[in-house]
Amino acid sequence: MRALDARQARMTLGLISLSVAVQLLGLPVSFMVVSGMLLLAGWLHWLWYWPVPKGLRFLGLMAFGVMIFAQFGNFFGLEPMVALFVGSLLLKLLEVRTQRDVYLLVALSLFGLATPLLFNPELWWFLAILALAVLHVSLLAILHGQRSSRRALRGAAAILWRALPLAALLFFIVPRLPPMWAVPMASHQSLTGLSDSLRLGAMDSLSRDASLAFSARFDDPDNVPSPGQRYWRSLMLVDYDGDHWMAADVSHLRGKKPSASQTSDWDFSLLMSPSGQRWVPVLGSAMEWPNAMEYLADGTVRARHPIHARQLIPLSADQSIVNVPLSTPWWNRLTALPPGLHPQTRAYARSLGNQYPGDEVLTEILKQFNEENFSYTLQPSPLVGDKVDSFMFDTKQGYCEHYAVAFAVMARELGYPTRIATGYLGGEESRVDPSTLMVYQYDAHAWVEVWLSDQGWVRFDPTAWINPSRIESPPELRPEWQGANLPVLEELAWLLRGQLWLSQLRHATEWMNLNWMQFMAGFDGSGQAAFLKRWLGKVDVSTMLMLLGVFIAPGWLWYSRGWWWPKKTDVAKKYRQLLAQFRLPVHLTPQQLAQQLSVRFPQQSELIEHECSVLQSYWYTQVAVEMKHVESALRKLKDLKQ
Amino acid sequence: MSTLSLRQAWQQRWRRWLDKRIPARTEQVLNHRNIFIFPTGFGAFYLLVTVLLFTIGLNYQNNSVYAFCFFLVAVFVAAIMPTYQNLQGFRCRVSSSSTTIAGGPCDVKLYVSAAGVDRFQLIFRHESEVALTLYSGESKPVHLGMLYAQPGVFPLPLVKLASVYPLGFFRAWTWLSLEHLIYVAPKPKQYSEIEQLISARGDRSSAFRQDDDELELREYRHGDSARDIYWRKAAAGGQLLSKARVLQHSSEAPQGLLDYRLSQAPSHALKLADLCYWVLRCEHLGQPYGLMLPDTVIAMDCGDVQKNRCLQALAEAL
Repeated sequence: MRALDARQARMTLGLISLSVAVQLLGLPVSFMVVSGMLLLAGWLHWLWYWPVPKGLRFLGLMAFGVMIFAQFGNFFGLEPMVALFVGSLLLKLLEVRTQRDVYLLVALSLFGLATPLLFNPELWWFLAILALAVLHVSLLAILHGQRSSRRALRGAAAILWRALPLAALLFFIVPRLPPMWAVPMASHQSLTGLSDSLRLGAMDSLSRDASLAFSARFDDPDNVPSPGQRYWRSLMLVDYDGDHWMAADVSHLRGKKPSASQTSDWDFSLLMSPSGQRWVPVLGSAMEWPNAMEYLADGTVRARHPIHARQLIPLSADQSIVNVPLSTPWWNRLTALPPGLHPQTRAYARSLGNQYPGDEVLTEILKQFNEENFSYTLQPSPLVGDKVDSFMFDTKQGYCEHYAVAFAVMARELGYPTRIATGYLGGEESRVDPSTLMVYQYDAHAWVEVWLSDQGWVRFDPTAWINPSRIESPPELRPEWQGANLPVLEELAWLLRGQLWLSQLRHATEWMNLNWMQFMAGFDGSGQAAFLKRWLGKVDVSTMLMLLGVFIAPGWLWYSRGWWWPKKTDVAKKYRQLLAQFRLPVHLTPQQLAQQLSVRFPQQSELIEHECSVLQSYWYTQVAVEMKHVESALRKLKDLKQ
Repeated sequence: MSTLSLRQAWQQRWRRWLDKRIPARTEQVLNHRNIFIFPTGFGAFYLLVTVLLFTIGLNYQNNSVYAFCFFLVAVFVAAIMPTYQNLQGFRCRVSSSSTTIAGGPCDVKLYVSAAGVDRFQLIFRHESEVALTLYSGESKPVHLGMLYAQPGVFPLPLVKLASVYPLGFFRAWTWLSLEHLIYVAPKPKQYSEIEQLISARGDRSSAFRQDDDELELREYRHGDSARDIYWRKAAAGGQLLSKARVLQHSSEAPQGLLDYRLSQAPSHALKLADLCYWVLRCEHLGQPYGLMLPDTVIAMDCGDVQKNRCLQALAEAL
C-alpha cells in the first residue's frame, strides 16, 4: 500500500482537524478540550515526529467514554453517538500511515459532516458543509498524485459542477419515505424563549438575544397584521401561588374548537426554531392547525411532542380571543389569590375599585401606571420583601413581566378572572418579502387577559401604556435599549444592526435563509408530490416513463445510428464503386474517367464531361462544391446507359 | 471436465475476446474501446457511507442530510469522467523487438506520450509495478523490467495500465497489447575453444577485408560505437567511417563463422549456449564474428547490431 508523503499527510491532518472542529460545535466544551489535546498530539506526531505513546490511544478512548457517560448518562442519544464518532475519527488520525488510512478517514469524515446538518438547518451550515466536502474531494486528488493544490481545487470544482444537476435531480425525485425505525433525538437543545412558569425577579435583566424565535409567512401579502396586532400568544399562566405564575396542565384545557362558522383572519405558516418545548405561538386564537398539534380551550395550540427540529407549521388564526363560558371551578381558579400576600397592592386596588365602579377601573389602573412615575427598563433594581408591593411602591421600574404581574394581582383582587399571557409581541417585516414576519427572542413579552362579563376575554397590555415605543419602534431605536450596560461585543453587534445597508444585507440573507429552511422543512412526502405535480403535471408511472423516453430516445437513436440514420455520403467509396461498375482501375481521376466513359457513351459525352468536372473540382480545387451536386453527379454517372 | 481445463477454457475465451477488442499493435492509443472502468474497494465503501447517510436522512426526516447524501452520490458518478480522461488519448509505442539472455534482466522500453491534460499515477503492472506521472504534451520512456529464465522467443505479455486518479472511487484500466517480441538467448556456457568452432572452410572473405590498405576504415554502420568513428574525415565533410574494429584485429586470431556443428557441447541447447558464449566473447574483444546455425547463416560483423542479430538467431534456433 502506498505511503503518504509529508505534504499529503499535512493536508489530510489539516482537513480532518477542520472537519472534527465543525462536528465538535454541537458538543459540550469538555469534548472540545479532549479533542483539542488529541489533535495536538496528531500534529506533533506528524510535523515533529513525536512518537505517540502506546497508551495514548487507549487513554483517549477511555476519556471519551467517561465524558459521554458523565455528560449524557448513556451511549444511545444522538450526541453520544456524534461524540463517539468524533472520538474514533481522532484516534484513527493518530495512526495514519498509508493511502488506505486516508481513504477511511475521508469517508468517515464526510459521514460525520452530515451530523451538524441534523442540528442546524440554516442555509449557511449547508453551504459550509458542502464547501468542506469539496475540500475532501480535492484532498483525494492530491492523494492520487496531483501536485498543485490549486489545480486539485479546480478539478474538485469541475466535479462539483458536473455533480450538481444529478444531485438536484436525485433530491427532487427520490421518494420521501416514512422513517424505518425510531431514532434518538437531540437532547441538549438549549431551551430558549419562554418557559411555562413566570416568577417575578427571577432574572435580573431581559435578554437581548437576537436569535430568531420563528418566522411567519402570510399567505396573503396584503393581509399582514399591523404592529399593534402582533401579539403571538403561546402560554396562558393561570395558577398563582404567590411566587410563580404557572400554566395549567394540558389535560385541564383540552377542549373542542368552537363552531368553525367564522372565517379566519390570517392564514400563515410558522417556521419554528427548535425550542425543546411544546408551545406554538398563535396570533389571537387558532382556527386550523396540523394534526401533530392539539387545540387548547384558551385558543392556543400545543405540539404533541417537544419541538426539537425546525418545523414548518401551517396555521389559521382569528384576531379575537376565543370565548368559552367559564365554569364555576374555572372562575374560582382564575380569581384566586394566595391570602395575605401583597397587602399594599391589594389595598390600593380595592381603593381604586371603590373610586371607579364598573370595568373602567381596569383602564384606571393602567392610567395610574402611566401617571405615577413608573418607568420601563430592562435592568430594574432588585426587589426586596414582598415583590409585588416592592415593585409597586418602591422601585416603580421594570419590564413587561413586572407590569403584567402587578396588573394581574390587582385585577384578581377586584374579582376579575385573570390570566397572564406569555408569548411574543412584534415581528419585523422582511424587506425582501414583506409578507414574512421575523420574530426574535428579544420580542418575548408578557401581558394580561381579563374576563369581562359583557365582552369575554379582553387583552390588557400594561407595558404598552408605560412604553408605547415597545410596539412601534424597531429594537435598536427603543430608548430602554440605549445606554444599558452591555458587553462591548454585544453593544457593537447592536450598533451594526442599526446601520441601514447592513440591515438590508441582513434582511436579504435572512430571507434567503428563511426560504431555504421553509423549503427544506416543507419538502416532505406531500411537499414532493405537490412539487412534482406542479412541474410534471399528473404524476404516474406512464408519465415518468414517457418523460424518460423523451429524454433518452434521441440519445439512443443517435448513439446506435442504424440504417435509418441519414449518413454522410462517403464520396470516395461511391466513386470506387462507380469505377468498379465500369470495370475501370481504381486509380483513375474523374478527368480520366470522363475520357473513358465518353468513349463508351459518345452520345452522352456532354453530361459525362459536366458531372466528372463536378467531382474533379470537389476533390482537387479550393472551390466549395455543395454535397447535393456531388451526390447527383455520382448518381447520374452510375445510371449511365447505352 | 476438470476445473483447471475449465479455467483454461475460460482464459482462452477471455483472451480471444480481448484480442478482438484490443488487437496487438506496436502503438496503442487509448480510447473508449479499450479503456475499462469499475469502482474500487474505496468506491464501494464510499457508496456504503452514502447509503448510511440516506438512512439517517430517512430516519430523521431531514432534507439537508438527504441533499448532502445525494450530492455525495452525484460526486461519485461525476468522478467516472475524469477517471476516464486520465487515460483517454494516452499513446504507448514500443519497438518491434528486444533481446536478452536467459536469467539476465530484460528491459522493455515503452515510449508513452499524451496530449491534452496531465496524467497522474499511471501504473504499469506486469511482474513489477511502474508508476508514472505524465504532464500534458510530455513524452517519456517507461522501462518494464522482466525476467526470463528460459531461452526462446516470447511475445510481450499483456501489460495492465491502470489509474485511479482523481478520487480513487473508480479504477480505469486497459491491457496494453503491444506487438513486440522478446528474444531470450540461452545462458552462455563455454564448451569449445574458438579454434574448434571455426570451420576449416571458414569464409574469410567478408566484404570489407578484401583490400588490405583500406582495412583500417570501413563504412559506418548503425550500431558502431561513436568512439570508433573516423571523425577527421567526417569533419571534413566526407562520409562516416569506422576505424577501430578493424584496426584491433589481431592477425593471429582465427577469423570465421562460429559453426554450430563443430561445437563440442553434448546437446542442442548446450551447443547454442556454447555459441552464445563465443558471440559475447568476440563482441567483448571487438573481434568480428559470424554464425552458422542449422538453418541460418549470419555474415561476419561486429557491434551491437551484430550481437543482437546473433542472439536473436540463437533464441530462435531453440
